[in-house]
Amino acid sequence: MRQYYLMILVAAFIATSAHAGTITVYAAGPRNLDHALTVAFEKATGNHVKLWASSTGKVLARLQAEHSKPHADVVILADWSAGLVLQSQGIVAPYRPQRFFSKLRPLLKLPSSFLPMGADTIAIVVNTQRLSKGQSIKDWSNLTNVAYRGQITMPSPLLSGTASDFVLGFLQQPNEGGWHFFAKLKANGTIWPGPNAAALAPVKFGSRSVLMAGVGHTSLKAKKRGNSLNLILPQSGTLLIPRPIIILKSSKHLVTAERFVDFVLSRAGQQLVSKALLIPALSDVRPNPIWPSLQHAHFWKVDWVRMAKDRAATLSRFNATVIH
Amino acid sequence: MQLTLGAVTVRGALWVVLGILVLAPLTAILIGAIRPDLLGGVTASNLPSATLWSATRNSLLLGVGVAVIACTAALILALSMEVLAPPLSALWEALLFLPFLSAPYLLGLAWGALALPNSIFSRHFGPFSNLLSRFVFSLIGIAFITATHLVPLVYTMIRGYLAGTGWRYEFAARVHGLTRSATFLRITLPRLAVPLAAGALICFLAGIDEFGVPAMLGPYMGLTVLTTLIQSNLDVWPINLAAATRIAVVLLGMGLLAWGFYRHYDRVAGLDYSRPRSTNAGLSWTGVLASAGIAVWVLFTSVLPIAVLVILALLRADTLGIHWNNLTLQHFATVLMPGRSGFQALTTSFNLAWSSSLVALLIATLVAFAERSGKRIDHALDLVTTMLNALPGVVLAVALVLVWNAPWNPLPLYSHTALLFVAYVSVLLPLALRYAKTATTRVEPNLLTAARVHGVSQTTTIIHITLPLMLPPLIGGFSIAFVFAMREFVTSVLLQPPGTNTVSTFIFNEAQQGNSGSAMAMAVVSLSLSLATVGILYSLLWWKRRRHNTAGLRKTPSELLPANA
Repeated sequence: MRQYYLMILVAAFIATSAHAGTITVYAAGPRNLDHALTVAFEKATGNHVKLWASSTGKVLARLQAEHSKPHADVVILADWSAGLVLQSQGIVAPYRPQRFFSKLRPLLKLPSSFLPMGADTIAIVVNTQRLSKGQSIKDWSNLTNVAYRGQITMPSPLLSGTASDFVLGFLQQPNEGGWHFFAKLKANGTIWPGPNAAALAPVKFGSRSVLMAGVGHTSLKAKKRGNSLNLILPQSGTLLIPRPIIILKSSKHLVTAERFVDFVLSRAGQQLVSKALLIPALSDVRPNPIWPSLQHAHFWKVDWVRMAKDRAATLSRFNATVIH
Repeated sequence: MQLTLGAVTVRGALWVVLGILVLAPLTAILIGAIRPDLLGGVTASNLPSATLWSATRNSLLLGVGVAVIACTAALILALSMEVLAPPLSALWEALLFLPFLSAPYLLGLAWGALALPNSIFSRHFGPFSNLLSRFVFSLIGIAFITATHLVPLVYTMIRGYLAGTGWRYEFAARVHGLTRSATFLRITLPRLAVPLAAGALICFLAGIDEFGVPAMLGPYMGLTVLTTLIQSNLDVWPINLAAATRIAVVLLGMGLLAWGFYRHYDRVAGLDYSRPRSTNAGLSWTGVLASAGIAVWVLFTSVLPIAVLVILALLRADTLGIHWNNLTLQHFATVLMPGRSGFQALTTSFNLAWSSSLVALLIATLVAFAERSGKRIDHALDLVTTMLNALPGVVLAVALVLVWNAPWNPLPLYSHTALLFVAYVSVLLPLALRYAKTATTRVEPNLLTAARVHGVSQTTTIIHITLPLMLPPLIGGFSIAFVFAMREFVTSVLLQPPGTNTVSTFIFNEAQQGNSGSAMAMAVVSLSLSLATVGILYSLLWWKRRRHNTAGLRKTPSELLPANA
């Protein structure tokens, strides 16, 4: 009986999508990029894309809610460890062709069954109007200085996937000060006003001068619009967050889905990634010139698998001991 | 009355519709809470009971705070309007309804921006800036901001009650020699306990259900309530659908309890719609003073936050502050450009809003008529519909996903805009029912009998008697339902199908991507659209009343809210 239903549905579906393939993409932004990628892909291949653009958390929530009847073919996330979670659930169709993998930026060559489509960094963002002359921030440790008392905001790791990655990655670094650093931050009057955009708001409105652990492209976009913001990549290192592009095992349009991934990792696709102020995954496509030089930036080595494992315990400790 | 075949069919259809809209999601959520393994995916770690306990306590406090603040403010406002008869009362009443038009999360956002110390806004407040910041970023502040948009509702309940019962008790008391103040203290205030209790319970329900304001302001002080706890379990991974469902059941329990009490008052407070002739006593200094007080209230609860939204929509670069040369109309252009996603979101929301409002009102009217039979089974229809009051939006959204994406569900509604339509109708039904009940009470059975005795056909009766009588409250209901649908936030964000944006999902996504300018531009545009719609419908009502009524009965905007809410 159920098969019968299915056949009718499939027949109806084929009838309605007479032209090429149609795939459904769930993407975690930036929305302009998601939109530009699907439009360019449709133009280049004649396929059709149904796009749902949201945040990593919402995409994962939706995948889980749709667990018994999946709809998405391709998923783009803002968070590498979220991709690893999907992989460990066994719902990822492995797709990592060598022809792309070999051309990735060295830091993005990570063990996984899927590819990164780009990357973003965690940085310190300052409102240059609010900093007094001669004040300059070089590293995380500067932020516990009394000069920045009551001046710092940070996205809440409980509400922002990237900020939680930052905390987990930070704690994996032997020389950064660990939990002690966060305790000192708290003592210095730091607030955690919500996800990324909410944490940037007090800095944009001039109420505070420093956003720490902000995600790169959002602040750069604000800077590009003329805001007096500056992005600082700390000397001792920071986290580079690859953004996974994943084909789901449940997809009934694997071929079209693979073509979509191929397109995102093509030169044309990567240039769109660069234009959206993300760091392109391919090493021969340059990031937008508004980025500070990545050549000399230092990025941490992190164990993403362990990060995924430690997440729940670390976040509940952060909530209990730092935020409260 | 003998049930005809038609009546039976209508009732059958109503049960099917309500089964789909109400009973199925409720069942799904209860099953999900008992057997989380049926939800699929990861059933992650247990929720720490301390977190759940503190969120429950905060939700309760918020609910009580909202109820107390909204009732106090509404009582003062209603009595000032009623007793002191300030000049320009129609204008004040219209302005009192402004906060009702804007989504609470936008109010929260605006107040948050206003209250940040030393910001481009609060720099202009001098010594008050610190005070404001301490107030807004507190539980009381959150309760106050949530309460501001509920004040119009309680206000209407109080005035509807006073209008319905008239002042005859007070007259009697005065005739028997009670002083003016004694009459007020011993007659009027105790009498007002009825609409106040009903209003307090409605506000309590809305307070524990509120998501937007605590989500915008709560993180500043590490405050979590049940709704934000549900959202963080749904929104930030590790996603814990099972925990979210369990918290939802706690919230549902609180809601059902309050709603159980409320139903009692709903019947007591249910009163007729017509109002007495206004007693315009001319200018008096108390009236002018009352006007000034109301003006201050309007300034703080509507003008200030809306002005903040407008400024944010006009700023080119936020860090550069409020200067003429930092203003731009570009964000509005982005939102209003035909064919772009902002414009599409606006069209989608507009179409969803009017269609779901109409359908919700139609269902509600049928339920209200059925309920008049007095049969127990028909009362159950009413009970099931108002039960949606106790079902928070987040819970409803989760439940709708569970129902409409279930493998056994043959209707391919999920991931189509149609699901949003279903969700909106569910959300609007209890509201629509209040208006529909007000509307049906106006159609007295005697009138219909009289028509039948005089040999008027059923169609003519409907066109010339039933509809004209019901139209004013139904138009009022439509405009409020429309506003609600235009600003609907939680279910839209969670059920948004691929390729479709609504006003709220657009605002949410843009704000999350750091494009606060276009987010706020959309907020201002949709607010204006709602305002225009309500304005047009209200003028229509007013004009109609003017034309038909030689008795000079005054029509006030509060009639746009149900008298027996």
